[in-house]
Amino acid sequence: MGPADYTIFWSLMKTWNFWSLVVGIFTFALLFYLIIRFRQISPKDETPEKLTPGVFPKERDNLTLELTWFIVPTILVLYLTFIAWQSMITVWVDPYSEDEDTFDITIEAYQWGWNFYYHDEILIVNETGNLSTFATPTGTEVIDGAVSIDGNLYLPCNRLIKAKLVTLNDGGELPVLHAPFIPEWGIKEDAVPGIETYMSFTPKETGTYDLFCAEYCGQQHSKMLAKVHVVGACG
Amino acid sequence: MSYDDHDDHGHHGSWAPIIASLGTMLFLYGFSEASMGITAIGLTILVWGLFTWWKGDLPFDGSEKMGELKSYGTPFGGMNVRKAGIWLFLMSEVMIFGTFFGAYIRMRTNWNTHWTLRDKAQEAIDGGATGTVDSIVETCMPHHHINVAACEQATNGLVNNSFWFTESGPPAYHHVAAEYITADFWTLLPGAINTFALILSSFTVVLALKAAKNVDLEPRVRDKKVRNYLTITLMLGTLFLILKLWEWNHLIHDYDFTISTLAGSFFYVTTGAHGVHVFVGLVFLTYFIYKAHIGGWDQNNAQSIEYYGLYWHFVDLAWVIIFPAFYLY
Amino acid sequence: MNKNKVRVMSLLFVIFIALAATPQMTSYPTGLGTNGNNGCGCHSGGAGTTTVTVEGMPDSFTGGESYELTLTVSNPDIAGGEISANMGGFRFFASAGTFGAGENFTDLVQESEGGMTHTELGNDLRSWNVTWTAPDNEGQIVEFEAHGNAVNGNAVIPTDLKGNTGDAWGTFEASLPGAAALGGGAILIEQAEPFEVAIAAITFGIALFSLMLVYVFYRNNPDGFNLNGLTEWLKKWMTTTDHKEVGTLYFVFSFLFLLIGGIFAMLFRLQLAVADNDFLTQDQYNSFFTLHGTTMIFLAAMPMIAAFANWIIPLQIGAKDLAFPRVNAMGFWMLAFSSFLLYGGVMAGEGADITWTMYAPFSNSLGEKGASAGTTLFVAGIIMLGISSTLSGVNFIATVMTMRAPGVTWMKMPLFTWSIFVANAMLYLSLPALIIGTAYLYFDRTIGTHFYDAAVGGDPILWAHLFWYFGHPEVYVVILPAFGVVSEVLSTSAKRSVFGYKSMVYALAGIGVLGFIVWGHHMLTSGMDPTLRLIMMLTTMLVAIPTGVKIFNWLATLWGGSLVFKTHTLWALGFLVTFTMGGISGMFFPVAGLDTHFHDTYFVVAHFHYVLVGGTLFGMYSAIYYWYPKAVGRKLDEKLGLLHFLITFIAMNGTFWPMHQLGIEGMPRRYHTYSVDSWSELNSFITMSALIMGLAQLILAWNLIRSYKHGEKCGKDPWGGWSLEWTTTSPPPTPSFHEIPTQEDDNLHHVESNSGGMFSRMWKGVEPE
Repeated sequence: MGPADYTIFWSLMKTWNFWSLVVGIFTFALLFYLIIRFRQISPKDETPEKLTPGVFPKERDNLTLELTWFIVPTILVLYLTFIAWQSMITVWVDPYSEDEDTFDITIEAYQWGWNFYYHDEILIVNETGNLSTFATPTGTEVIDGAVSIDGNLYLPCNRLIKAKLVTLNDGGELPVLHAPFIPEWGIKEDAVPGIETYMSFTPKETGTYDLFCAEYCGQQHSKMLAKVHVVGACG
Repeated sequence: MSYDDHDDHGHHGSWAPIIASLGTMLFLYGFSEASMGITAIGLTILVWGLFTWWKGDLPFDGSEKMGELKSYGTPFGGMNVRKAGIWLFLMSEVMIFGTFFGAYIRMRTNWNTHWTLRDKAQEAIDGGATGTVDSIVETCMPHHHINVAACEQATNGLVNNSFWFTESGPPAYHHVAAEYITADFWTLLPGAINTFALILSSFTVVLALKAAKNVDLEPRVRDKKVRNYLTITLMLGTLFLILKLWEWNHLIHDYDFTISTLAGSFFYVTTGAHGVHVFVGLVFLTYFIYKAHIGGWDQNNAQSIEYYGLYWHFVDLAWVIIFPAFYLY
Repeated sequence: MNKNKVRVMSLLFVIFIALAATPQMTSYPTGLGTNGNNGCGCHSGGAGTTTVTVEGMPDSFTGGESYELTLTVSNPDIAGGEISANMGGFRFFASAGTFGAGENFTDLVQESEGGMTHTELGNDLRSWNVTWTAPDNEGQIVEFEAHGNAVNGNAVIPTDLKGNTGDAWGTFEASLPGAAALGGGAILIEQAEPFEVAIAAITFGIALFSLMLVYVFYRNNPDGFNLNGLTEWLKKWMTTTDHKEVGTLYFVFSFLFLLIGGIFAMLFRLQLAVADNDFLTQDQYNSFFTLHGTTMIFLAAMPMIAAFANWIIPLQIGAKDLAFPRVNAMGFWMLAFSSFLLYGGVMAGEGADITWTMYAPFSNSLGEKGASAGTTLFVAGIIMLGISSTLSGVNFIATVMTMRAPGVTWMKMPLFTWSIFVANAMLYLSLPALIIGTAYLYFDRTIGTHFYDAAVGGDPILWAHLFWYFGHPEVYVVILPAFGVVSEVLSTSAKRSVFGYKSMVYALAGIGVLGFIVWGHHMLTSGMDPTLRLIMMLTTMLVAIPTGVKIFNWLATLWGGSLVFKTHTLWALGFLVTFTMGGISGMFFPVAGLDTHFHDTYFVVAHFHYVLVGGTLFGMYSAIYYWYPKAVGRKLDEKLGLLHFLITFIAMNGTFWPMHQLGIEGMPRRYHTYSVDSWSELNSFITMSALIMGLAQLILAWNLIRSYKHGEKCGKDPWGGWSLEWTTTSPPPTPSFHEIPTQEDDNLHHVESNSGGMFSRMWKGVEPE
């Protein structure tokens, strides 16, 4: 379960897990050492400061030490930010990019379901096992050039998918927020009424994956599911 | 040590908080359920709570026994605690009006219209239009105002009238109130008068404060002066509200500029919120006038008028910013 | 009757009227009195003079059989008739079985919320045919309820095309026993309805709670136990403006709502225990988790913090009371009454289902697929909470700024006071965004503005910006006071001063400033401007630095100390463990490649519960055990405390740790149920732990009540703390100090010249005067 091995998610997750463990183990080891080492042995134990009610106790600080645990985390955080920054380029899509090699689809969300529209050719294995080819005009008009197939999403393997996300008002009073979420590629983005948003990913293995709605959208939010079928050759 | 050596001021309970809160709840309940009866009951109880509050305050003579504490330490040392309180409260009011402006500016800069327009511009360029995405957007919305004709030309007819205005319902691009208000002198006049009325009323509050603090005056003369200046303030504030309602009425009925458009929502809610602030100020002013009428103000407790004045100046100041932003821009 | 009695009586009268008005909410077939999903806009008025009849009802039903029912509305006063449209309407419900359209009526009636109603076309009739298919269980009694209205529609004077010229309601009710139930067979106990369970549990809880109040009153003064005494006692609490008493009110209120919020959590954990469960309906689930979130944040965590702030701040800074005692009481009562608005919807079966984040535009849609009718009340309640928090925020800040006793300078202030100061500064500067945001929402729902409606150009993302501009500082508002408590407790327990007092203060202030510029990390996948996303990612990462400084300072505080393991120490150490884990998992979210997966999954749920339960709640529990002796004069039972700590700590980790794994596997939050079987195991385990954790809190409740009279007596300073609250008696007198105390200072070298500007004097700790 969880995102596929080849996604950027896991490469980041490994780094983050590693540093979490380093920080966590260091902190907790120190904490437990201190708790055991400096526990009260006898009630008469004395400490250098006497805490007296109504008297601000002797301050104790150590600038070197405090600067250390200011600067070391700062370096770590900046290092992690640098890594995270790189992932931005992969994850967020420039809708105006001139990249011709993408496979363009439109995901239209409504209460409570999905419509999928294709703007490029796709080879599809439908439920009866027949092969058929849909050739659609490279869509300028989303609705006109649309082909929606049995409520599920079919994608070719090993191509960069660029999905445009829009909302549809299907009988409700207002179109509302939705967010297609495909755990397999660790990807989601809100579909926002009034504007268009985008997400992109590259499937590298054939199979059938879940698509959830991740932005709360009303009564049947949890029923807003679909399957994503990755078909074709992955070579 | 400023508040040593005096009798502890007693902790007298007060019914005011619980009554006012009950009133607020019923008011909101009634308003939510569109039930005018409960709304009215709620409002009545709220006012009852206010009266209870004021009743406790009426004998206030500025002594520590009555709760006027002196601040101690940095940064307000020596100031009255209440003054610090009112300044802190005004900071949160600044944030309130800041939020109104933030949301309004977001609307006026067409934050999301821009994005759709960029898509269209790209599409037009793909279809053979000249220029860049940025230049087309700039042609279509110079300084965030739309230019329908130039836009249609720049995009080879792709972004035409129907992009900006839908057939049914309110237009996609929103006419703002300023377009109607600045259209002719008579629509602009009430707003202009209002601006001066508020500035003048800020001045009369200061005069009232000055009179109340003036130890050279005979008590009778002083009370009369204070009362009169405060009454002038009240009248100016009332004038402001009346003119504002008249102006709203004009916008709604003559220009069909209603609350159901986006620009209308921002206009009426923001100016309405300011109006509510003025109204609340006037309600408090009636209490001040009543106290002046029974001769309650002197140099020892005149600071209450000062603190009220701080609030009133703030309301004035907010209007000075709202007026150009919503009426002229 | 004396004056006070008149007041009490009139207040009671008003409450009575309000209560009497409440049932009318449910008597409208459409819930809270707003317009129905399919009714026209004219149904809010009208009297119940219409007769509604149903023909075709059998004497008893046979399981699975279908019956043809004819529903008719008639009203001689309202001409319907020959002329045309909109002359009648109905809604028909049954407690069991399913409805369908009658023969030839398929275009005229439709299903609606489990019942039947007319279609737009069916509006033109006064009689309709429907079929009702009986449930299989013949041992039950089915309750029927129908509402119909007769309208004269556009018939006479078509003023507004809505039929406002005549409209009257009528209701029909009937019970239909099953064959087995009729035949003398035992009526099977109906399956427990979770909604009723929740309501019953809450009602029962409130009843127990009232009993407890009476018991406490009795134990206070057994001789004065009579009705007069009780009214006097209640009056004292209703009118009090003393900071300690208002603090107690806050505490009792927050503890009650902590338990109520827990009941909701346990109910929907039961729902989530196994895959494809249907213990709760979707509507119930949605409104329960909405109320759980809002209750825990606004009615449990924040009042609990306000309780300790009320109690302790004036004592710690050596003030007689807060700056504005009446404003303080007002803050509490606003909060108390807002809970009625928040819960009004769910009590009428129409609970708000908009999540605690209340995302527009869903939250301002009214239709069948929109938010439920109780949402308007809920939003009104949030506005009232905003007022309450602003009042108390201004009050606390003013108190700390102006009423510190001699010696309590800015850099000699106890860290708890500092944390409350920073938290309230953040709170009252961020709340306006929420108040205005919800006001927009409220007006969208009531008077027809269109702030968030994209169809007229409104901006859905505006809500997210306004909400999170408040929402993120709010997160620090609830965690910073816990930092303060832990600083105090660790220092006292280790018998050492806090390590690096100054850097602790700078870290608090740093978090306070950074907290305002990180809100966008809640919106990384919301379609926000990419440049903003990058900025927010950077700033969010930076928050880890001051937080890290605080954690290492706490560790260094233990160094060389002599740590006593009292219950409050245990909670503080538990806090260090769980909060650090929550802090570390927080570092996963600002990363773009991780957040696109984690956003709105159970990983987020795990993270913020580690921070809010493991952070805020543990901190507040520590505060309870630490300051209870100061407030009551008796210590809490340490053995019960240890038991409470161990169970809660283990169950808390058992509840929230597996959620990380569920999040990685991609289980979305706010899901009523799930069909992925492999998620069942972890979810069952979580549910079990959650139930244990919930029940363990009763130990604390018992401890609080029992120790009130039977706890070990204690003196002024039972734990050996240094700040000014330990110099006064336990419980403290009223007003809290007869003589304003002076705080001494062990660091004599710090008292230097009076030179320099305001800031340098502030940091040196030298006061003017």
